[in-house]
Amino acid sequence: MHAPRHPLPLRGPLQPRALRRGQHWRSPQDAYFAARAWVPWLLAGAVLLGAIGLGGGLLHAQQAVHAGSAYRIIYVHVPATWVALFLFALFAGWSVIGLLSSSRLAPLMTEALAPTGALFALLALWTGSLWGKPVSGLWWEWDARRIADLALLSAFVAAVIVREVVDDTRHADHLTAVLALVGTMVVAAALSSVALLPQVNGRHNAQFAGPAGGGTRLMTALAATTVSFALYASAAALMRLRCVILERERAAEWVDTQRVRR
Amino acid sequence: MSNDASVYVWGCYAIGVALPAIELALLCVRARLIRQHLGWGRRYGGAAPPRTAGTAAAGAHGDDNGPSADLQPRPRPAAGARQPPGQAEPG
Repeated sequence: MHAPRHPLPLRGPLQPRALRRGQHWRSPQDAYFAARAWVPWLLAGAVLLGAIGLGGGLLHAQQAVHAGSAYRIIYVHVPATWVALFLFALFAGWSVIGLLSSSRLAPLMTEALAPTGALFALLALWTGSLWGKPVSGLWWEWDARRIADLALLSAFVAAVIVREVVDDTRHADHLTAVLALVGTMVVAAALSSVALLPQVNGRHNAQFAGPAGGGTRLMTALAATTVSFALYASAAALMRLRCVILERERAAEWVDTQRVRR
Repeated sequence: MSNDASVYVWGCYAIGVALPAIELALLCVRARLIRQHLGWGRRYGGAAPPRTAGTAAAGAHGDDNGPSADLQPRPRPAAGARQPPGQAEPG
């Protein structure tokens, strides 16, 4: 006899009470359906806030004393850097959880976060070069922020490469987690040098000081773009998480159940 | 906005929008391909084939071939078809 087919674990566009309690993020199966509910809202918020932040930065920002109109570049560069750091914190956090516990979700999360983190680290590096050329005449400067961006990009790209090269998924999970911890130390050292060696990074800080009198508008546009990038990054990571879950759990009964129910 | 700086500013905003858009498009394609290979229904984003009398009968009897190992769609056995060795006859 066949076992009775189980109903879907999460139906409908949203089940807010269950999502608030967080009980749908405990297993890959639950996370798959919970992520499905979150992605449209995250993308909608990202588009709305992105239009506000980027539009405000591009059209209404005042010119800075040091950088002129090139100052508008920071409305993309700074949020991209912050979101890359935010994603790396999540990446490292899930790596630690994966190392210390037997969570099935943790390695999937790290696998889902790495490519999006690499994208934002690349964006931070690229826009940093676009900032440096008109302001200082150089595409690249060896200051702490650029090194931190480079370390972030290297760690994320290395994590993606490890996933592609190592066939054993458990081995790849452990390697990625160790990589995340090493990357954390490098990024932390680079960022702390910004505070510890202000004479080295002083010129960069002065250039980022911004236009006089534009504080409120500047911070509003920066905050809107940062939240927009963060919402987009969360949506992209959840979309990739759903793909990774299906790829890894393709032998699970719940995946087969969905295939039959059509 | 001076012409020199505007090139860098517009380039910066262009890649700030284009890179995430490209990633999003690739993710949508990847998700759709996976669901198609798994044979998931239209409700979950896959392109389900039309339900015919043969597939309806097979669905009613269940499908005990086990999950796919290589993400390839499996042919659904017709009603009354002989099961592979080692698998019980439904019902």
